[in-house]
Amino acid sequence: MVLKLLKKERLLSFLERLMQKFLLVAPVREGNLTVYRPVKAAAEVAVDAPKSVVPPKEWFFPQTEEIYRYATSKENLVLEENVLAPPAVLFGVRPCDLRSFQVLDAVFLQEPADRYYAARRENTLLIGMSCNTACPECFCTAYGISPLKGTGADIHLTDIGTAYLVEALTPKGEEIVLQDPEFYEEKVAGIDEALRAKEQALTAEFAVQVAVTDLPAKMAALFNHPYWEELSRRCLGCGICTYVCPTCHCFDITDENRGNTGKRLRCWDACLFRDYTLHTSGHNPRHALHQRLRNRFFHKLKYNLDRYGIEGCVGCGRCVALCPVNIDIREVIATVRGLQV
Amino acid sequence: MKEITESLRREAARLLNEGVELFIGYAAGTRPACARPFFVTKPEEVTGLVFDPFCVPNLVKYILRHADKKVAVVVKGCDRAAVDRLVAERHLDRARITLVGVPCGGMLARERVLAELGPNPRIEAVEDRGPSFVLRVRGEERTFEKRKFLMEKCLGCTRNNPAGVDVMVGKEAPPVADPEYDPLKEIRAIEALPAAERAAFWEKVFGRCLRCYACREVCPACSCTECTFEQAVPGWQQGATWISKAKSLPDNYHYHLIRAFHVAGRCAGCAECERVCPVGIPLMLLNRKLAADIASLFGETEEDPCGALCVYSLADPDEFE
Amino acid sequence: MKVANPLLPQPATIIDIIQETGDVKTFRVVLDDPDAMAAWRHRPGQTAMVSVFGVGEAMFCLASSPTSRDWIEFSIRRAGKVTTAIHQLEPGAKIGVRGPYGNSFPVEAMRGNDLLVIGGGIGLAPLRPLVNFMIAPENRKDYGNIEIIYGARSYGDLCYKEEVFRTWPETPGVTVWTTIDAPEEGWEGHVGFVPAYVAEIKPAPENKFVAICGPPVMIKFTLKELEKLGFKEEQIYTTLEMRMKCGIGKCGRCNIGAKFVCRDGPVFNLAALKELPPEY
Repeated sequence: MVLKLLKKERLLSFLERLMQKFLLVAPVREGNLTVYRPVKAAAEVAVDAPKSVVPPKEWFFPQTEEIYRYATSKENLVLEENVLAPPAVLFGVRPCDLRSFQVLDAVFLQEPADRYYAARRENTLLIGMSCNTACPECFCTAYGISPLKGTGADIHLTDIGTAYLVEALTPKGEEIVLQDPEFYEEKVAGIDEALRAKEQALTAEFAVQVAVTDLPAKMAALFNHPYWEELSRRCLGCGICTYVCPTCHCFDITDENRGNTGKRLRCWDACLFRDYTLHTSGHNPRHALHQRLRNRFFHKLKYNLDRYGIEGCVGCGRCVALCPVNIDIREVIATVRGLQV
Repeated sequence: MKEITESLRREAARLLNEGVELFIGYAAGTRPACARPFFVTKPEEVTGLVFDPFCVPNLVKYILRHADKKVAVVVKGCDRAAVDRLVAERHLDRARITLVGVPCGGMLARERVLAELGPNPRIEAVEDRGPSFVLRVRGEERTFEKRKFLMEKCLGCTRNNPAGVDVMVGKEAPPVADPEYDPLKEIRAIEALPAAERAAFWEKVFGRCLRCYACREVCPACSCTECTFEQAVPGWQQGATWISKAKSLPDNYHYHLIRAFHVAGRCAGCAECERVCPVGIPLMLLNRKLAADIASLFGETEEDPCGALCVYSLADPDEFE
Repeated sequence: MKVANPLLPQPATIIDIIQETGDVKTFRVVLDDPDAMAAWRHRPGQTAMVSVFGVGEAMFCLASSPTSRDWIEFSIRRAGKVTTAIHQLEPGAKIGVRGPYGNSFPVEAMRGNDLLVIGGGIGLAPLRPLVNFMIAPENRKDYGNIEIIYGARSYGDLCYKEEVFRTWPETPGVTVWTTIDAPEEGWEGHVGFVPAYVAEIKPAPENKFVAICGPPVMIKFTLKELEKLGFKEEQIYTTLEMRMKCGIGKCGRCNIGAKFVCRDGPVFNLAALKELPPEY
């Protein structure tokens, strides 16, 4: 691992240098929102922007993507695959979202690997950014994530006042850092203690401390508990929690047709939607809203762990902050852990 | 707000004892300055009920899910209008519902209040003092002038004491409307823009729609059991649907404009669509514009719960062209 | 590094269409790339995604025998938008195929045992490759007797009539019982529902595997009869249908608990199925 310091005033040149070789995808401000998108100039990057509503998974798994085009005629069928994966840097990814890529990797890179996701993942250099502030809805530490650690990133930056601590965590990251030694200064003593203090201060801002011990076993025993129906009474059945979730990966595949040619698209889908599991026959295995809501929580808190060995929640708090009727996964976790089996 | 909350709990307990099977009100949420829909079936659970200026959700739509039950529901003035529409359209049987009206001193805009108090305040009490709300936070009183901190929908509200309810709790609230508030100001500003800039404005806001359909799911005027956007087109188009699942500008436009027209004349102005939108699309601009247009074309329709676009009359002098 | 794209179908051509019943057709399909066709292997019970471009994609069980090298077959009932579009196609039409997907009937574990096949209507489709695999000359010696109980609403609703009434009964060690729900002119066979017919036939449970597929209500009541006859849940296999989009365990919607039907199914034994939430 290479450790350096990057003076804050040099960040812009650091980004511009990256832009010579890579497409820079970074947080920018659009009105009151933070969104990750390709930037034309490094100055557009909103380094200290609050957490994005739509998580940066969007870069690897866009809400709508053309997977191939087709042209049909009586004798012929031509399929033209469309895998877009330019060399890119995804900059400013928060530790919770960095973890989400490990969760998504388990799904999309498992054999047979998803070519679109795999290609973009491979061609993207990940630069993480420690959190400077915590939202009251954050609870990443419940999953062993530190808001100041860049696990999963190639390079990770942490604001230490006048400079960023730069950690190159992979050979890919080291190469980038070592190619421009003039940008950096050597790490000075005392930083580790300062970071520990900062971590404590940040996590103290979490409104709720969440513990997930024994949760999957507890969930399994409570599948038929009336709690899920009670919880679903206020659920709107909209797709907010799934669309802002950094680990939700469900999608639909549809055609957009123009005569004999068209595009096959992959679009995000949400397990809360009525037609998500609807069979052609009209039978719906999860016809009731409480079944769909329960499935979502089971997926996040149990199924993902059972299937891939990694929790399906990263504690980013987006669903908590954005649910219009205050369905709060932190409360769900605490309630389930407290229910009598 | 303590008195309203207490009398609400008393009334709820009474109604549940008198045969109401489900009482829909508000409970404190898990986040500061946030209340959530709360469903009470037993008199002993009424202690969870609250009413304060963060009880924003419109609860009327939940009645539709319990068509078979005797339901009582807490309504603010702005929520109240939705009931009439649903009754007029025969989605609801008025006799089955007990409307519990609350005098509303306006709803506080959560983000603006939190911007003043910090992200995670402990709000211990709320008091309505007419032109302002006083919040007690860590023993300290903080005053929020309504003119500055109410949600936009409240600034033009003239119906904050719901009429035609079965039970009214608390004392009548003083008017909340800000006489200087002009609901059409922003709309006129957009209308005054050159066409290209106007288009750019809508492209920007519709472009970011996630199509999570929260605006539809929360809307009491969106009462169709099957939404047109989920309906398959009949066989001759080989099962195409009216809208693609793709998040694209044309599809987003299509969704929002069709929805705006479907609720035109039926929108009760509760502004829930705008509140729930995770990406901040100013949907009430459309709804207010349509309401203003309908009023200028057909006259005020306040008394007609069905709304101008739902009325058919043989005496209509205009040809249907 | 170029990895194969599992979402990209292989171009294929419909070479023959067999009208099985009023609303079921069997489509005989050849992959356009001869190497891909030669390399195609599937196991009994597996599925594949069929594309009609411009309409969409849907998952169907592979109805052809795993030993067939020249073509693959899908038996498709006209029900929704993709199936309606497929039904409008004629021989020569171009479609897309990707697969095979999922697990299969445990033909290794079944070796040396007898097999009881119970099918209802189009539900025979996923069971047909199992029977044809076991009666293929190269495999026949590995398996014991095969009993097939097959029912449909009417004679016209029975699929694969050539096999059901000729090929299978004429194969040594294979017995076929057929039944229809209500009497009709010209039908001299058994009349009645499948569960009752199973109770009447009384198949013995010893050294036997059961493969069952059909309408949920038929399965439900047949399982009760099998239980009475002494069959254990571990002996009984069924195949599940779910709405699917990707077929490779990524799109999410075919989950039952932590299992994905497209990958961990579609074939489940009853004991395993009982461990899962009843969301299918």
